[in-house]
Amino acid sequence: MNKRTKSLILFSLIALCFIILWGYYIDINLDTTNIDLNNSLKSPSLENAAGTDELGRDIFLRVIEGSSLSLRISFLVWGISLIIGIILGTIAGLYSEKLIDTIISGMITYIYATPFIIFLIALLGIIGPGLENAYLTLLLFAWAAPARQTRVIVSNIKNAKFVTASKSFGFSPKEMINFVIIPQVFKPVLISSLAVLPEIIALDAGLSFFGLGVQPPAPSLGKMIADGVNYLSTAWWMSTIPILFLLSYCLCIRYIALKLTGVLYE
Amino acid sequence: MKRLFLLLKDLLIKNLLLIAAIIIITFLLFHTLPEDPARLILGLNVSEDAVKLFRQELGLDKPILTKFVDYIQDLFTLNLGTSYYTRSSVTSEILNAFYSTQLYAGIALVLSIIYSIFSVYLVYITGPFIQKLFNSVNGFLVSIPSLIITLFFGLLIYNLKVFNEINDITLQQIISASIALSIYPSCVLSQILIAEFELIKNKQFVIASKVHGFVGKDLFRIIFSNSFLPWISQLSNIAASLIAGSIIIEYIFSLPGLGRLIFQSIIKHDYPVIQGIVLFTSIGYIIFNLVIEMIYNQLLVSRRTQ
Repeated sequence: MNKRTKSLILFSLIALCFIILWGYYIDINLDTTNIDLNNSLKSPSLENAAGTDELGRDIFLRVIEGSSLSLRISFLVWGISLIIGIILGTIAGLYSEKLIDTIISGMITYIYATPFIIFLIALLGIIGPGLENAYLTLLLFAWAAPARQTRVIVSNIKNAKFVTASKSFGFSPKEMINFVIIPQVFKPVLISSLAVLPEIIALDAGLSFFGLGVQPPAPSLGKMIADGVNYLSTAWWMSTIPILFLLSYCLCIRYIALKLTGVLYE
Repeated sequence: MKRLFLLLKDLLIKNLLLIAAIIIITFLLFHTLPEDPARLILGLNVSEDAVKLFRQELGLDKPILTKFVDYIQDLFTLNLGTSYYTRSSVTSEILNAFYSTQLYAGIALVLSIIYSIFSVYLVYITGPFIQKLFNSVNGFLVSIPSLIITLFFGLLIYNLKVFNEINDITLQQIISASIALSIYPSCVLSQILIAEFELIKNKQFVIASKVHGFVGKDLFRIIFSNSFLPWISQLSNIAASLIAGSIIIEYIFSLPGLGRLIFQSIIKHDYPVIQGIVLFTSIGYIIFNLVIEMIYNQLLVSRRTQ
Protein backbone atom coordinates (compact mmCIF):
# COMPACT_ATOMS: atom_id res chain seq x y z
CA MET A 1 0.00 0.00 0.00
CA ASN A 2 1.57 3.28 -1.02
CA LYS A 3 1.34 6.59 0.74
CA ARG A 4 -1.36 7.98 -1.52
CA THR A 5 -3.70 5.05 -0.93
CA LYS A 6 -3.10 5.27 2.80
CA SER A 7 -3.93 8.94 2.90
CA LEU A 8 -7.02 8.39 0.73
CA ILE A 9 -8.27 5.66 3.05
CA LEU A 10 -7.62 7.89 6.03
CA PHE A 11 -9.38 10.76 4.31
CA SER A 12 -12.44 8.60 3.54
CA LEU A 13 -12.65 7.41 7.13
CA ILE A 14 -12.28 10.92 8.50
CA ALA A 15 -14.91 12.22 6.08
CA LEU A 16 -17.39 9.52 7.11
CA CYS A 17 -16.76 10.16 10.82
CA PHE A 18 -17.03 13.89 10.23
CA ILE A 19 -20.41 13.49 8.51
CA ILE A 20 -21.67 11.29 11.34
CA LEU A 21 -20.55 13.78 14.03
CA TRP A 22 -21.78 16.81 12.11
CA GLY A 23 -25.18 15.21 11.59
CA TYR A 24 -25.28 14.32 15.26
CA TYR A 25 -24.51 17.93 16.13
CA ILE A 26 -27.28 19.16 13.80
CA ASP A 27 -29.64 16.59 15.27
CA ILE A 28 -29.11 17.97 18.79
CA ASN A 29 -28.69 21.69 18.24
CA LEU A 30 -30.60 22.71 15.12
CA ASP A 31 -34.19 22.20 14.16
CA THR A 32 -34.36 20.94 10.60
CA THR A 33 -38.05 20.07 10.72
CA ASN A 34 -39.23 23.68 10.94
CA ILE A 35 -41.77 24.37 8.20
CA ASP A 36 -41.40 27.70 6.42
CA LEU A 37 -43.74 27.87 3.45
CA ASN A 38 -42.44 31.28 2.34
CA ASN A 39 -39.15 29.66 1.44
CA SER A 40 -40.41 26.55 -0.30
CA LEU A 41 -38.61 25.11 -3.35
CA LYS A 42 -35.79 27.68 -3.42
CA SER A 43 -32.96 26.71 -5.71
CA PRO A 44 -29.41 26.33 -4.32
CA SER A 45 -27.92 29.65 -3.20
CA LEU A 46 -25.43 31.01 -0.71
CA GLU A 47 -28.05 30.97 2.01
CA ASN A 48 -29.26 27.43 1.36
CA ALA A 49 -26.35 25.50 -0.04
CA ALA A 50 -28.59 22.82 -1.53
CA GLY A 51 -31.85 24.69 -1.84
CA THR A 52 -35.03 24.07 0.11
CA ASP A 53 -37.73 21.45 -0.17
CA GLU A 54 -41.49 21.83 -0.64
CA LEU A 55 -41.95 22.80 3.01
CA GLY A 56 -39.14 25.35 3.01
CA ARG A 57 -36.66 23.23 4.97
CA ASP A 58 -32.96 23.52 4.21
CA ILE A 59 -31.97 20.44 2.24
CA PHE A 60 -28.26 20.53 2.98
CA LEU A 61 -28.70 20.34 6.75
CA ARG A 62 -31.33 17.65 6.34
CA VAL A 63 -29.05 15.64 4.07
CA ILE A 64 -26.23 15.77 6.60
CA GLU A 65 -28.54 14.85 9.46
CA GLY A 66 -30.17 12.10 7.44
CA SER A 67 -26.85 10.68 6.29
CA SER A 68 -25.58 10.69 9.83
CA LEU A 69 -28.59 8.69 10.93
CA SER A 70 -28.36 6.38 7.93
CA LEU A 71 -24.63 5.80 8.42
CA ARG A 72 -25.06 5.21 12.13
CA ILE A 73 -27.79 2.64 11.44
CA SER A 74 -25.69 0.95 8.79
CA PHE A 75 -22.52 0.83 10.87
CA LEU A 76 -24.40 -0.50 13.89
CA VAL A 77 -26.21 -3.12 11.84
CA TRP A 78 -22.94 -4.04 10.16
CA GLY A 79 -21.16 -4.46 13.51
CA ILE A 80 -23.92 -6.54 15.04
CA SER A 81 -24.30 -8.64 11.91
CA LEU A 82 -20.56 -9.27 11.92
CA ILE A 83 -20.75 -10.60 15.48
CA ILE A 84 -23.84 -12.70 14.80
CA GLY A 85 -22.40 -13.93 11.51
CA ILE A 86 -19.07 -14.95 13.01
CA ILE A 87 -20.76 -16.76 15.91
CA LEU A 88 -23.26 -18.63 13.73
CA GLY A 89 -20.70 -19.28 11.03
CA THR A 90 -18.25 -20.72 13.55
CA ILE A 91 -20.94 -22.99 14.97
CA ALA A 92 -21.94 -24.14 11.49
CA GLY A 93 -18.33 -24.67 10.48
CA LEU A 94 -17.38 -26.63 13.57
CA TYR A 95 -20.41 -28.90 13.35
CA SER A 96 -20.48 -29.13 9.57
CA GLU A 97 -22.91 -31.67 8.14
CA LYS A 98 -24.76 -31.92 11.42
CA LEU A 99 -28.30 -30.70 11.98
CA ILE A 100 -27.29 -27.27 13.26
CA ASP A 101 -25.13 -26.66 10.20
CA THR A 102 -28.00 -27.70 7.95
CA ILE A 103 -30.28 -25.19 9.66
CA ILE A 104 -27.79 -22.31 9.55
CA SER A 105 -26.68 -22.89 5.98
CA GLY A 106 -30.32 -23.40 5.03
CA MET A 107 -31.09 -19.95 6.37
CA ILE A 108 -28.17 -18.49 4.44
CA THR A 109 -29.38 -20.22 1.28
CA TYR A 110 -32.85 -18.84 1.90
CA ILE A 111 -31.47 -15.31 2.04
CA TYR A 112 -29.39 -15.69 -1.11
CA ALA A 113 -31.66 -17.89 -3.21
CA THR A 114 -34.77 -15.75 -2.97
CA PRO A 115 -35.28 -12.10 -3.87
CA PHE A 116 -34.89 -11.20 -0.24
CA ILE A 117 -35.72 -7.52 -0.57
CA ILE A 118 -39.34 -8.37 -1.35
CA PHE A 119 -39.44 -10.56 1.73
CA LEU A 120 -38.01 -7.72 3.83
CA ILE A 121 -40.50 -5.23 2.45
CA ALA A 122 -43.35 -7.62 3.20
CA LEU A 123 -41.98 -8.21 6.70
CA LEU A 124 -41.74 -4.49 7.38
CA GLY A 125 -45.23 -4.06 6.00
CA ILE A 126 -46.50 -6.58 8.51
CA ILE A 127 -44.60 -5.58 11.64
CA GLY A 128 -45.03 -1.91 10.76
CA PRO A 129 -42.51 0.71 9.66
CA GLY A 130 -40.14 2.39 12.09
CA LEU A 131 -36.53 2.67 13.09
CA GLU A 132 -36.32 -0.40 15.34
CA ASN A 133 -38.09 -2.60 12.83
CA ALA A 134 -35.82 -1.33 10.07
CA TYR A 135 -32.82 -2.30 12.20
CA LEU A 136 -34.27 -5.76 12.63
CA THR A 137 -34.94 -6.33 8.95
CA LEU A 138 -31.52 -5.03 7.93
CA LEU A 139 -29.94 -7.39 10.43
CA LEU A 140 -31.92 -10.29 8.99
CA PHE A 141 -30.27 -9.60 5.64
CA ALA A 142 -26.79 -8.59 6.74
CA TRP A 143 -25.67 -11.49 8.92
CA ALA A 144 -25.65 -13.95 6.04
CA ALA A 145 -22.52 -12.74 4.25
CA PRO A 146 -20.09 -12.95 7.20
CA ALA A 147 -21.70 -16.19 8.38
CA ARG A 148 -21.23 -17.86 5.00
CA GLN A 149 -17.59 -16.87 4.80
CA THR A 150 -16.85 -17.81 8.41
CA ARG A 151 -18.47 -21.19 7.91
CA VAL A 152 -16.27 -21.98 4.92
CA ILE A 153 -13.06 -20.84 6.61
CA VAL A 154 -13.79 -22.65 9.87
CA SER A 155 -14.76 -25.91 8.18
CA ASN A 156 -11.52 -25.68 6.19
CA ILE A 157 -9.17 -24.99 9.09
CA LYS A 158 -10.76 -27.12 11.77
CA ASN A 159 -8.72 -30.14 10.70
CA ALA A 160 -5.55 -28.12 10.09
CA LYS A 161 -2.40 -29.06 11.93
CA PHE A 162 -2.19 -26.02 14.14
CA VAL A 163 -5.70 -26.66 15.44
CA THR A 164 -4.81 -30.26 16.25
CA ALA A 165 -1.64 -29.02 17.89
CA SER A 166 -3.55 -26.61 20.07
CA LYS A 167 -5.85 -29.46 21.02
CA SER A 168 -2.85 -31.49 22.09
CA PHE A 169 -1.62 -28.58 24.20
CA GLY A 170 -4.75 -29.07 26.26
CA PHE A 171 -6.86 -26.15 25.07
CA SER A 172 -10.49 -26.52 26.00
CA PRO A 173 -12.96 -26.21 23.09
CA LYS A 174 -13.94 -22.73 24.29
CA GLU A 175 -10.31 -21.58 24.43
CA MET A 176 -9.65 -23.11 21.07
CA ILE A 177 -12.47 -21.17 19.47
CA ASN A 178 -11.48 -17.94 21.19
CA PHE A 179 -7.72 -18.04 20.75
CA VAL A 180 -7.11 -20.22 17.71
CA ILE A 181 -10.05 -20.18 15.33
CA ILE A 182 -11.57 -16.71 15.74
CA PRO A 183 -8.26 -14.86 15.13
CA GLN A 184 -7.87 -16.78 11.88
CA VAL A 185 -11.38 -15.91 10.79
CA PHE A 186 -11.70 -12.36 11.99
CA LYS A 187 -9.50 -10.40 9.62
CA PRO A 188 -10.69 -11.78 6.25
CA VAL A 189 -14.32 -11.74 7.33
CA LEU A 190 -14.06 -8.19 8.64
CA ILE A 191 -12.55 -6.91 5.43
CA SER A 192 -14.78 -8.75 3.01
CA SER A 193 -17.88 -7.86 4.98
CA LEU A 194 -16.92 -4.22 4.44
CA ALA A 195 -18.13 -4.88 0.91
CA VAL A 196 -21.59 -5.63 2.33
CA LEU A 197 -21.74 -2.26 4.08
CA PRO A 198 -22.74 -0.34 0.92
CA GLU A 199 -25.46 -2.91 0.36
CA ILE A 200 -26.75 -2.22 3.87
CA ILE A 201 -26.68 1.52 3.22
CA ALA A 202 -28.50 1.00 -0.07
CA LEU A 203 -31.09 -1.26 1.50
CA ASP A 204 -31.63 1.21 4.32
CA ALA A 205 -32.10 3.98 1.78
CA GLY A 206 -34.38 1.74 -0.27
CA LEU A 207 -36.56 0.92 2.70
CA SER A 208 -36.87 4.55 3.72
CA PHE A 209 -37.47 5.43 0.05
CA PHE A 210 -40.75 3.60 0.40
CA GLY A 211 -41.49 5.14 3.79
CA LEU A 212 -40.72 1.96 5.69
CA GLY A 213 -37.64 3.20 7.56
CA VAL A 214 -37.18 6.28 9.68
CA GLN A 215 -40.50 8.05 10.05
CA PRO A 216 -40.99 11.69 9.07
CA PRO A 217 -40.43 14.47 10.04
CA ALA A 218 -36.99 13.07 10.93
CA PRO A 219 -34.89 13.31 7.73
CA SER A 220 -33.62 10.22 5.95
CA LEU A 221 -31.90 10.10 2.60
CA GLY A 222 -34.26 7.60 1.01
CA LYS A 223 -37.37 9.49 2.03
CA MET A 224 -35.89 12.77 0.77
CA ILE A 225 -35.21 11.19 -2.63
CA ALA A 226 -38.75 9.80 -2.75
CA ASP A 227 -40.20 13.21 -1.87
CA GLY A 228 -38.02 14.79 -4.53
CA VAL A 229 -39.36 12.43 -7.21
CA ASN A 230 -42.69 14.28 -7.05
CA TYR A 231 -40.96 17.60 -7.77
CA LEU A 232 -38.51 16.37 -10.39
CA SER A 233 -39.64 18.76 -13.11
CA THR A 234 -39.52 21.89 -10.92
CA ALA A 235 -36.87 21.19 -8.27
CA TRP A 236 -34.15 18.82 -9.44
CA TRP A 237 -31.99 19.47 -6.36
CA MET A 238 -34.48 17.86 -3.99
CA SER A 239 -33.70 14.33 -5.09
CA THR A 240 -30.34 14.75 -6.82
CA ILE A 241 -28.34 16.05 -3.88
CA PRO A 242 -29.30 13.28 -1.44
CA ILE A 243 -28.53 10.63 -4.05
CA LEU A 244 -25.11 12.14 -4.79
CA PHE A 245 -24.29 11.97 -1.09
CA LEU A 246 -25.48 8.38 -1.00
CA LEU A 247 -23.29 7.53 -4.00
CA SER A 248 -20.23 9.10 -2.40
CA TYR A 249 -20.66 7.12 0.85
CA CYS A 250 -20.90 3.88 -1.09
CA LEU A 251 -17.84 4.76 -3.15
CA CYS A 252 -15.84 5.72 -0.05
CA ILE A 253 -16.58 2.43 1.67
CA ARG A 254 -16.04 0.37 -1.48
CA TYR A 255 -12.68 2.06 -1.97
CA ILE A 256 -11.60 1.26 1.58
CA ALA A 257 -12.82 -2.34 1.20
CA LEU A 258 -11.03 -2.76 -2.12
CA LYS A 259 -7.71 -1.45 -0.88
CA LEU A 260 -7.84 -3.41 2.38
CA THR A 261 -8.66 -6.59 0.45
CA GLY A 262 -5.57 -5.94 -1.62
CA VAL A 263 -3.51 -5.69 1.55
CA LEU A 264 -4.99 -8.93 2.85
CA TYR A 265 -3.95 -10.95 -0.17
CA GLU A 266 -0.57 -9.33 -0.69
CA MET B 1 -32.03 -36.17 -23.09
CA LYS B 2 -31.92 -38.77 -20.34
CA ARG B 3 -29.02 -36.96 -18.73
CA LEU B 4 -30.97 -33.72 -18.79
CA PHE B 5 -33.89 -35.44 -17.11
CA LEU B 6 -31.64 -36.82 -14.38
CA LEU B 7 -30.14 -33.40 -13.87
CA LEU B 8 -33.58 -31.88 -13.58
CA LYS B 9 -34.54 -34.47 -10.97
CA ASP B 10 -31.37 -33.76 -9.03
CA LEU B 11 -31.90 -30.02 -9.06
CA LEU B 12 -35.57 -30.36 -8.19
CA ILE B 13 -34.80 -32.42 -5.10
CA LYS B 14 -32.26 -29.83 -4.03
CA ASN B 15 -34.69 -26.98 -4.54
CA LEU B 16 -37.75 -28.71 -3.19
CA LEU B 17 -36.58 -28.25 0.39
CA LEU B 18 -36.03 -24.58 -0.25
CA ILE B 19 -39.47 -24.20 -1.77
CA ALA B 20 -41.00 -26.01 1.21
CA ALA B 21 -39.13 -23.65 3.53
CA ILE B 22 -40.43 -20.66 1.60
CA ILE B 23 -44.00 -21.93 1.78
CA ILE B 24 -43.83 -22.60 5.53
CA ILE B 25 -42.04 -19.37 6.45
CA THR B 26 -44.46 -17.32 4.39
CA PHE B 27 -47.38 -19.04 6.05
CA LEU B 28 -45.99 -18.41 9.53
CA LEU B 29 -45.26 -14.81 8.65
CA PHE B 30 -48.77 -14.04 7.51
CA HIS B 31 -50.88 -16.23 9.78
CA THR B 32 -49.36 -15.50 13.16
CA LEU B 33 -49.92 -11.77 12.93
CA PRO B 34 -49.89 -9.80 16.15
CA GLU B 35 -52.65 -7.56 14.83
CA ASP B 36 -56.09 -8.55 13.68
CA PRO B 37 -56.37 -7.93 9.92
CA ALA B 38 -60.15 -7.64 10.16
CA ARG B 39 -59.86 -4.85 12.71
CA LEU B 40 -57.17 -3.10 10.65
CA ILE B 41 -59.29 -3.17 7.53
CA LEU B 42 -62.64 -2.23 9.05
CA GLY B 43 -61.24 0.47 11.33
CA LEU B 44 -61.87 1.17 15.00
CA ASN B 45 -65.43 2.44 14.68
CA VAL B 46 -67.00 -0.84 13.63
CA SER B 47 -68.80 -2.98 16.18
CA GLU B 48 -67.38 -6.23 17.50
CA ASP B 49 -70.09 -8.29 15.76
CA ALA B 50 -69.27 -6.90 12.34
CA VAL B 51 -65.58 -7.69 12.87
CA LYS B 52 -66.54 -11.22 13.90
CA LEU B 53 -68.65 -11.64 10.78
CA PHE B 54 -65.83 -10.31 8.63
CA ARG B 55 -63.37 -12.69 10.25
CA GLN B 56 -65.72 -15.56 9.54
CA GLU B 57 -66.08 -14.46 5.95
CA LEU B 58 -62.30 -14.33 5.45
CA GLY B 59 -61.79 -17.60 7.31
CA LEU B 60 -59.62 -15.92 9.91
CA ASP B 61 -61.30 -17.59 12.89
CA LYS B 62 -60.29 -21.12 11.95
CA PRO B 63 -57.59 -22.87 14.00
CA ILE B 64 -54.10 -22.49 12.59
CA LEU B 65 -53.72 -26.11 11.48
CA THR B 66 -56.92 -25.99 9.44
CA LYS B 67 -55.66 -22.76 7.89
CA PHE B 68 -52.37 -24.45 7.01
CA VAL B 69 -54.10 -27.40 5.35
CA ASP B 70 -56.33 -25.04 3.39
CA TYR B 71 -53.30 -22.99 2.39
CA ILE B 72 -51.42 -26.01 1.09
CA GLN B 73 -54.49 -27.27 -0.77
CA ASP B 74 -54.96 -23.86 -2.34
CA LEU B 75 -51.32 -23.74 -3.38
CA PHE B 76 -51.66 -26.98 -5.29
CA THR B 77 -54.49 -25.51 -7.32
CA LEU B 78 -52.44 -22.30 -7.77
CA ASN B 79 -55.06 -20.41 -5.81
CA LEU B 80 -53.40 -17.76 -3.66
CA GLY B 81 -56.63 -16.60 -2.04
CA THR B 82 -58.74 -13.52 -2.62
CA SER B 83 -57.79 -9.94 -1.98
CA TYR B 84 -59.41 -8.35 1.09
CA TYR B 85 -60.26 -5.25 -0.90
CA THR B 86 -60.99 -5.96 -4.52
CA ARG B 87 -62.33 -9.46 -3.72
CA SER B 88 -60.73 -10.65 -6.93
CA SER B 89 -58.37 -13.60 -7.19
CA VAL B 90 -54.84 -12.81 -6.00
CA THR B 91 -53.38 -15.05 -8.70
CA SER B 92 -54.88 -13.01 -11.51
CA GLU B 93 -53.87 -9.72 -9.86
CA ILE B 94 -50.28 -10.89 -9.50
CA LEU B 95 -50.15 -12.23 -13.03
CA ASN B 96 -51.43 -8.91 -14.37
CA ALA B 97 -48.80 -7.00 -12.41
CA PHE B 98 -46.10 -9.47 -13.38
CA TYR B 99 -46.96 -9.03 -17.04
CA SER B 100 -45.89 -5.39 -16.96
CA THR B 101 -42.89 -6.00 -14.69
CA GLN B 102 -41.54 -8.75 -16.90
CA LEU B 103 -42.01 -6.52 -19.93
CA TYR B 104 -39.47 -3.91 -18.93
CA ALA B 105 -37.33 -6.28 -16.88
CA GLY B 106 -37.15 -8.47 -19.98
CA ILE B 107 -36.26 -5.52 -22.21
CA ALA B 108 -33.60 -4.53 -19.69
CA LEU B 109 -32.17 -8.04 -19.73
CA VAL B 110 -32.05 -8.09 -23.52
CA LEU B 111 -30.47 -4.63 -23.59
CA SER B 112 -27.79 -5.66 -21.13
CA ILE B 113 -27.01 -8.81 -23.10
CA ILE B 114 -26.71 -6.75 -26.28
CA TYR B 115 -24.53 -4.18 -24.52
CA SER B 116 -22.16 -6.79 -23.13
CA ILE B 117 -21.70 -8.54 -26.47
CA PHE B 118 -21.28 -5.21 -28.21
CA SER B 119 -18.70 -4.06 -25.66
CA VAL B 120 -16.64 -7.21 -26.00
CA TYR B 121 -16.73 -6.96 -29.78
CA LEU B 122 -15.63 -3.35 -29.60
CA VAL B 123 -12.77 -4.30 -27.31
CA TYR B 124 -11.84 -7.07 -29.72
CA ILE B 125 -11.67 -4.88 -32.79
CA THR B 126 -10.07 -1.81 -31.20
CA GLY B 127 -7.61 -2.64 -28.48
CA PRO B 128 -6.32 -1.94 -25.00
CA PHE B 129 -7.41 1.67 -24.71
CA ILE B 130 -11.10 0.90 -25.25
CA GLN B 131 -10.72 -2.09 -22.98
CA LYS B 132 -9.39 0.11 -20.19
CA LEU B 133 -12.23 2.54 -20.76
CA PHE B 134 -14.87 -0.18 -20.53
CA ASN B 135 -13.18 -1.75 -17.54
CA SER B 136 -13.06 1.47 -15.59
CA VAL B 137 -16.64 2.48 -16.41
CA ASN B 138 -17.98 -0.98 -15.62
CA GLY B 139 -15.86 -1.32 -12.50
CA PHE B 140 -17.00 2.03 -11.22
CA LEU B 141 -20.69 1.33 -11.76
CA VAL B 142 -20.55 -2.22 -10.44
CA SER B 143 -18.95 -1.06 -7.20
CA ILE B 144 -22.11 0.86 -6.28
CA PRO B 145 -25.10 -1.17 -5.02
CA SER B 146 -27.65 -1.91 -7.73
CA LEU B 147 -30.50 -0.18 -5.91
CA ILE B 148 -28.65 3.13 -5.83
CA ILE B 149 -27.48 2.83 -9.44
CA THR B 150 -30.99 2.13 -10.64
CA LEU B 151 -32.37 5.00 -8.58
CA PHE B 152 -29.70 7.39 -9.83
CA PHE B 153 -30.11 6.57 -13.50
CA GLY B 154 -33.87 6.44 -13.19
CA LEU B 155 -33.88 9.99 -11.85
CA LEU B 156 -31.30 11.07 -14.42
CA ILE B 157 -33.29 9.77 -17.37
CA TYR B 158 -36.48 11.19 -15.91
CA ASN B 159 -34.84 14.58 -15.37
CA LEU B 160 -33.13 14.86 -18.72
CA LYS B 161 -36.30 13.74 -20.56
CA VAL B 162 -34.18 11.80 -22.99
CA PHE B 163 -37.04 10.04 -24.70
CA ASN B 164 -39.49 12.91 -24.91
CA GLU B 165 -39.55 12.80 -28.70
CA ILE B 166 -41.46 9.54 -28.61
CA ASN B 167 -45.12 10.48 -28.81
CA ASP B 168 -46.57 7.47 -27.09
CA ILE B 169 -46.28 8.13 -23.33
CA THR B 170 -46.53 4.47 -22.34
CA LEU B 171 -43.82 3.51 -24.78
CA GLN B 172 -41.68 6.43 -23.59
CA GLN B 173 -42.04 5.32 -19.98
CA ILE B 174 -41.31 1.69 -20.74
CA ILE B 175 -38.19 2.53 -22.74
CA SER B 176 -36.82 4.90 -20.10
CA ALA B 177 -37.60 2.43 -17.33
CA SER B 178 -35.92 -0.46 -19.10
CA ILE B 179 -32.82 1.58 -19.89
CA ALA B 180 -32.48 2.77 -16.30
CA LEU B 181 -33.00 -0.79 -15.13
CA SER B 182 -30.47 -2.22 -17.58
CA ILE B 183 -27.46 -0.13 -16.52
CA TYR B 184 -26.34 -2.26 -13.60
CA PRO B 185 -26.83 -5.67 -15.29
CA SER B 186 -25.11 -4.37 -18.43
CA CYS B 187 -22.01 -3.43 -16.48
CA VAL B 188 -21.88 -6.72 -14.57
CA LEU B 189 -22.32 -8.82 -17.70
CA SER B 190 -19.91 -6.73 -19.74
CA GLN B 191 -17.24 -6.82 -17.06
CA ILE B 192 -17.42 -10.59 -16.75
CA LEU B 193 -17.52 -11.18 -20.47
CA ILE B 194 -14.54 -8.90 -21.19
CA ALA B 195 -12.47 -10.48 -18.41
CA GLU B 196 -13.21 -14.01 -19.59
CA PHE B 197 -12.67 -13.03 -23.23
CA GLU B 198 -9.23 -11.63 -22.47
CA LEU B 199 -8.38 -14.80 -20.58
CA ILE B 200 -9.43 -17.10 -23.41
CA LYS B 201 -7.76 -14.91 -26.03
CA ASN B 202 -4.29 -16.02 -24.96
CA LYS B 203 -5.11 -19.73 -24.78
CA GLN B 204 -3.19 -22.08 -27.05
CA PHE B 205 -6.15 -23.25 -29.11
CA VAL B 206 -6.86 -19.64 -30.07
CA ILE B 207 -3.27 -19.21 -31.19
CA ALA B 208 -3.64 -22.46 -33.10
CA SER B 209 -6.77 -21.16 -34.82
CA LYS B 210 -4.88 -18.01 -35.72
CA VAL B 211 -2.20 -20.18 -37.28
CA HIS B 212 -4.90 -22.00 -39.21
CA GLY B 213 -5.88 -18.69 -40.72
CA PHE B 214 -8.86 -17.61 -38.70
CA VAL B 215 -9.09 -13.84 -38.54
CA GLY B 216 -11.66 -11.14 -37.82
CA LYS B 217 -15.20 -12.27 -37.18
CA ASP B 218 -14.39 -15.97 -37.36
CA LEU B 219 -11.74 -15.71 -34.69
CA PHE B 220 -14.08 -13.62 -32.56
CA ARG B 221 -16.71 -16.34 -32.86
CA ILE B 222 -14.23 -18.97 -31.72
CA ILE B 223 -13.10 -16.98 -28.69
CA PHE B 224 -16.60 -15.86 -27.80
CA SER B 225 -18.13 -19.32 -27.94
CA ASN B 226 -15.53 -20.44 -25.41
CA SER B 227 -15.90 -17.53 -23.04
CA PHE B 228 -19.58 -16.97 -22.40
CA LEU B 229 -20.21 -19.70 -19.78
CA PRO B 230 -19.48 -17.57 -16.68
CA TRP B 231 -21.61 -14.93 -18.25
CA ILE B 232 -24.61 -17.26 -18.33
CA SER B 233 -24.21 -18.24 -14.71
CA GLN B 234 -24.26 -14.57 -13.84
CA LEU B 235 -27.74 -14.17 -15.35
CA SER B 236 -29.34 -15.56 -12.20
CA ASN B 237 -27.69 -12.89 -10.04
CA ILE B 238 -28.86 -10.32 -12.52
CA ALA B 239 -32.46 -11.45 -12.11
CA ALA B 240 -32.37 -10.62 -8.39
CA SER B 241 -31.10 -7.11 -9.02
CA LEU B 242 -33.70 -6.66 -11.76
CA ILE B 243 -36.49 -7.57 -9.35
CA ALA B 244 -35.17 -5.18 -6.69
CA GLY B 245 -34.57 -2.43 -9.22
CA SER B 246 -37.97 -2.76 -10.86
CA ILE B 247 -39.65 -1.87 -7.57
CA ILE B 248 -37.87 1.49 -7.55
CA ILE B 249 -38.29 2.10 -11.26
CA GLU B 250 -42.03 1.52 -11.03
CA TYR B 251 -42.20 4.19 -8.37
CA ILE B 252 -40.22 6.77 -10.35
CA PHE B 253 -41.94 6.28 -13.70
CA SER B 254 -45.32 5.49 -12.13
CA LEU B 255 -45.67 2.22 -14.00
CA PRO B 256 -47.92 -0.66 -12.98
CA GLY B 257 -46.20 -3.79 -11.74
CA LEU B 258 -45.33 -6.06 -8.86
CA GLY B 259 -43.52 -3.37 -6.88
CA ARG B 260 -46.46 -1.02 -7.03
CA LEU B 261 -48.85 -3.81 -6.14
CA ILE B 262 -46.87 -4.77 -3.04
CA PHE B 263 -46.80 -1.18 -1.79
CA GLN B 264 -50.48 -0.60 -2.36
CA SER B 265 -51.17 -3.83 -0.52
CA ILE B 266 -48.92 -2.86 2.39
CA ILE B 267 -50.69 0.47 2.78
CA LYS B 268 -54.09 -1.26 2.67
CA HIS B 269 -53.01 -4.22 4.87
CA ASP B 270 -54.08 -6.53 2.08
CA TYR B 271 -52.18 -9.53 3.41
CA PRO B 272 -53.22 -12.23 0.88
CA VAL B 273 -51.77 -10.13 -1.95
CA ILE B 274 -48.47 -9.52 -0.11
CA GLN B 275 -48.25 -13.21 0.73
CA GLY B 276 -48.95 -14.09 -2.88
CA ILE B 277 -46.23 -11.75 -4.15
CA VAL B 278 -43.65 -13.12 -1.71
CA LEU B 279 -44.48 -16.68 -2.73
CA PHE B 280 -44.63 -15.87 -6.43
CA THR B 281 -41.33 -13.98 -6.61
CA SER B 282 -39.42 -16.43 -4.40
CA ILE B 283 -40.57 -19.56 -6.18
CA GLY B 284 -40.36 -17.87 -9.57
CA TYR B 285 -36.80 -16.83 -8.86
CA ILE B 286 -35.85 -20.35 -7.84
CA ILE B 287 -37.37 -21.75 -11.03
CA PHE B 288 -35.52 -19.13 -13.08
CA ASN B 289 -32.27 -20.17 -11.39
CA LEU B 290 -33.07 -23.79 -12.11
CA VAL B 291 -33.53 -23.06 -15.81
CA ILE B 292 -30.28 -21.09 -15.92
CA GLU B 293 -28.46 -23.90 -14.14
CA MET B 294 -29.81 -26.45 -16.61
CA ILE B 295 -28.81 -24.35 -19.60
CA TYR B 296 -25.38 -23.90 -18.07
CA ASN B 297 -24.95 -27.62 -17.51
CA GLN B 298 -26.16 -28.43 -20.98
CA LEU B 299 -23.70 -26.00 -22.54
CA LEU B 300 -20.87 -27.21 -20.35
CA VAL B 301 -21.41 -30.83 -21.32
CA SER B 302 -21.83 -30.07 -25.03
CA ARG B 303 -18.60 -28.08 -24.86
CA ARG B 304 -16.79 -31.00 -23.25
CA THR B 305 -18.08 -33.57 -25.71
CA GLN B 306 -16.95 -31.38 -28.59
